[in-house]
Amino acid sequence: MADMDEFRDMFFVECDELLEVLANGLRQMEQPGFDKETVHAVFRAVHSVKGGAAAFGLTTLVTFAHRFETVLDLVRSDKIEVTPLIMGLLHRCSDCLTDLVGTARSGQDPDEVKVDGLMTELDGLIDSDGEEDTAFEFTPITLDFGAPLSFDAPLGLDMPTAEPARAGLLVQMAPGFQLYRSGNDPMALLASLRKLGDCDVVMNDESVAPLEDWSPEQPSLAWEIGMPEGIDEAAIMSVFEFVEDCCMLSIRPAPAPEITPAENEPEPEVAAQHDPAPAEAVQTPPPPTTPDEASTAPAAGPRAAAQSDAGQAAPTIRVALDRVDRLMNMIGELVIKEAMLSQVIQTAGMHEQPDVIAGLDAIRQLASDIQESVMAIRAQPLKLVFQRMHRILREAADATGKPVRLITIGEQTEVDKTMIERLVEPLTHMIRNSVDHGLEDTVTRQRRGKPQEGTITLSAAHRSGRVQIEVSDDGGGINRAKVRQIAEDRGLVAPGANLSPAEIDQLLFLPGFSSKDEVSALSGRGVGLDVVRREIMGLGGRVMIQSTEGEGTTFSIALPLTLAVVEGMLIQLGDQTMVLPITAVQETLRPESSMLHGVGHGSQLLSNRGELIPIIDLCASFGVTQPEGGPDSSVLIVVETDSRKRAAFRVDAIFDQRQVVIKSLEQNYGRVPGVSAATILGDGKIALIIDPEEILLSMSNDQGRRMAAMASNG
Amino acid sequence: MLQSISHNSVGKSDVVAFKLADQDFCIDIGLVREIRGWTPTTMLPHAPDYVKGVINLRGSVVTVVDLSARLGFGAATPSHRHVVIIAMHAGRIVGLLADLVSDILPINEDHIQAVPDIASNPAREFIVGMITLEDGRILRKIDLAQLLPAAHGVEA
Amino acid sequence: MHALPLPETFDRKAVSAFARTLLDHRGADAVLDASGVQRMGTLAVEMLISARKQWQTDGKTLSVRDASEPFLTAIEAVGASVDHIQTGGPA
Repeated sequence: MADMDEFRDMFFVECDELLEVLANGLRQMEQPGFDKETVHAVFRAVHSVKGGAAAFGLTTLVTFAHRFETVLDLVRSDKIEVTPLIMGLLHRCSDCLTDLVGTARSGQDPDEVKVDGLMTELDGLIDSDGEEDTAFEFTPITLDFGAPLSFDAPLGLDMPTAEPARAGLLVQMAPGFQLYRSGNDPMALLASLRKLGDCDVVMNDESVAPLEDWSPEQPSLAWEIGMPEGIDEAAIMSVFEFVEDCCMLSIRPAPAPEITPAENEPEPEVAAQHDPAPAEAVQTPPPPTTPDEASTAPAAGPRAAAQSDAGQAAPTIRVALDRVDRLMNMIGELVIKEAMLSQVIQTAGMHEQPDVIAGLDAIRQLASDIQESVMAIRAQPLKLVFQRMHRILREAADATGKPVRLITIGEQTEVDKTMIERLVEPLTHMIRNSVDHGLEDTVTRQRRGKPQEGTITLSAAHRSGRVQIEVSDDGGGINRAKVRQIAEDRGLVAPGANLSPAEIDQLLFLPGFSSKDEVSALSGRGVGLDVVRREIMGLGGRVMIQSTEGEGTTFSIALPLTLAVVEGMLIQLGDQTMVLPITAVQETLRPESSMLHGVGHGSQLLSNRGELIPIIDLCASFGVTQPEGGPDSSVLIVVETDSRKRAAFRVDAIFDQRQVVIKSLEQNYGRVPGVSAATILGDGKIALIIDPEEILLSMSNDQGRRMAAMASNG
Repeated sequence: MLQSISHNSVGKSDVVAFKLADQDFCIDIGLVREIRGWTPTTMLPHAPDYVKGVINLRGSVVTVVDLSARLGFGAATPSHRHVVIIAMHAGRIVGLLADLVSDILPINEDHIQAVPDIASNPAREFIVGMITLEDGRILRKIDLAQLLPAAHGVEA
Repeated sequence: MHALPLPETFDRKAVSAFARTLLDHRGADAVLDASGVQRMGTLAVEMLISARKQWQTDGKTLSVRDASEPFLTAIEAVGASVDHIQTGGPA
């Protein structure tokens, strides 16, 4: 019995991989000039699922997979032409197969109606193939999704309607740091281009980061220059003669999406063969945030991806997750024991003996190396989540009738396995939100001179010790006036409150906010962005919004690399020791009395370099009894949250800064307001890890009451 | 019904008996993991007053419930002589603060009597049965499910 | 309000230093005095665009006053406008 169960489990694990190959392959088949091998791989994947399912007597799964496979076989032998209509059907079959595997795994009943519907469609293809081999017009099949529009658009009008086709060449350039360092300046290049003729310079500042993240070593401005008719490529190339190896450059006859690195041979044949419009898997990566991303992204065309799929036979072993978790826990213990040991050595007065110190250091180093290695075992590429988003997007596009394509960048970025799983929900919601609320309808897009098809970009990158994931759309941007109105109507904000654009954007995250007038079937199920925010915060991350009216909205998620450790500041509150995550800390200070200003009864403000910051007494917030001393001997820690809210936490003392191992509080107790988790200190005692975001949030939600409560407590 | 370790004879089970404010209580031994001496706890903000805080049990964070406060005897002032009974219930580990553990006793389940109606006594809702021992002592059997704080914060 | 004078020679070297200066003034409305700019490179424009994004994220205003001729020429040369640098503009 147990053996059979084990095989069954293994079958389902295998299914996950096969379904991934399937979904991947189908997407590649949408690329022009896809490899025949891709179709074989897709066929084999479905076939293997069928084989396994038969062994476990999963009849529905077998029957469906069989039809699916038969149609794929017809595609393989060129009996069925790959049209967008057929691709749509294959995608839906792939989704259905995924659902069937899911229901078989959980022992639920499959959605018979859907399965039967698809089987009828598949049968239609199989039959008509038998009857007349000439007819490849499969129009009699009624496809029940309301929007074949999504396929019509790129085929029907392959030129963006906004720009009249220009006969001149289009130059795209994104200068790298090397260009600037070698004393060149794009300004000079642009001037030279202008000398060739009256050209049309469009600057793209989309990827320029806000100043705190900006570095002159990663210049991000890019340009698109429309050259007038009659200027040939050689003349343009001569301008770039000395800089072509330090500047991303592309010269195309028509508006084309890619920027290819100049060192690659330009491939006009490839571009000319197909319509420029069909979705490209990889498109205009914004000038890269990390160098390695830069080199891989443009190269990872459909073919390269197919090869990497085929060549995925790197030697691996499959290990149950709980074994890795156990290892992780033991290492956590090791780190704690090491801290205890060093404390014992300190108390025993041995901390000045060099060999003791050296030994201790070596252990510490080893422990952190092991910790890193195990974390690497748990790390998985975000691809696993990103790929699932293609389906979400497809379904969202169908439900809303908006043609959309999804571009993913940085799929190989790795994060902790637990995080992968917990990112599915929030990302699903964000993608739906972007399609539903972010993108304008087709008519509006047309009026604004945008391509009918909306673009949603899902990107990931490692950025200064964190993982940054972005969901951006090229839609209408946040309608701030409307957001404000809705928030006022729902009583979420006082009418006429003085709000900055960024503050208005933050209103979207308030519980109970839904920005569409009518509740939409897609994302208006009572779940709002507040849920996304809470889930991301649960992962120790933050969510930020950036929106430009008419140009689109970007949601960025910043996540810690691991859920296992956090860098924290050890603080004293009364007789309790707590940990404040260092990421939130801006500065610490001992205020002079001239910097403190009372406001009403009990609450205080800190005036720091011209800014007034509310002071939160953490002892009061947590109900810790303070022995004596009073506020005079206290220290203020200025914290800033992702909503850019600042506050100064009053604590009794700060005595250390170190990495602590995160322990769940919820497992044996539950959630504690203002606390994200717990940790174990060197003396074996537990310390709570403070969640500054939540403390600030609860303060601003009901500031008045809270302040009053604090005053009466303190 | 609480699950207990099965024994040779049907209807018999062992209980851990402990004292609180001079009264005798017990819980099913199947739920008990170990018994430890009292160690100072880390306070939990916003917790009910009968939650003493959390302790480190070999790397796990374990909540300690002050039984005395929970049963309405008033908050205990724990000392070295106090004990913490580590119990497992519904997948959660919890520590129960008691005055002292007196015994581990086999009891016959037939001997468990229903609790007579005692109006508005806070202890009433946590006690599932009374057992009269041969020496005349009465053991009050505790229902962990009622006693423990609900797992909060698990929102949909 | 106190205005921050932009460097006279706003080249690659001046950019890093001025970026730091700007960051020190973060969190409050700021005015940049562009009257003294004699020479300005693309990197300087990019840094100012980045600063605008920062100020916008912070919900504060950033504005430019007394733009010199070379300043405006440089901005236009890269296909930008002063609205790329000031907050509150329609861009």
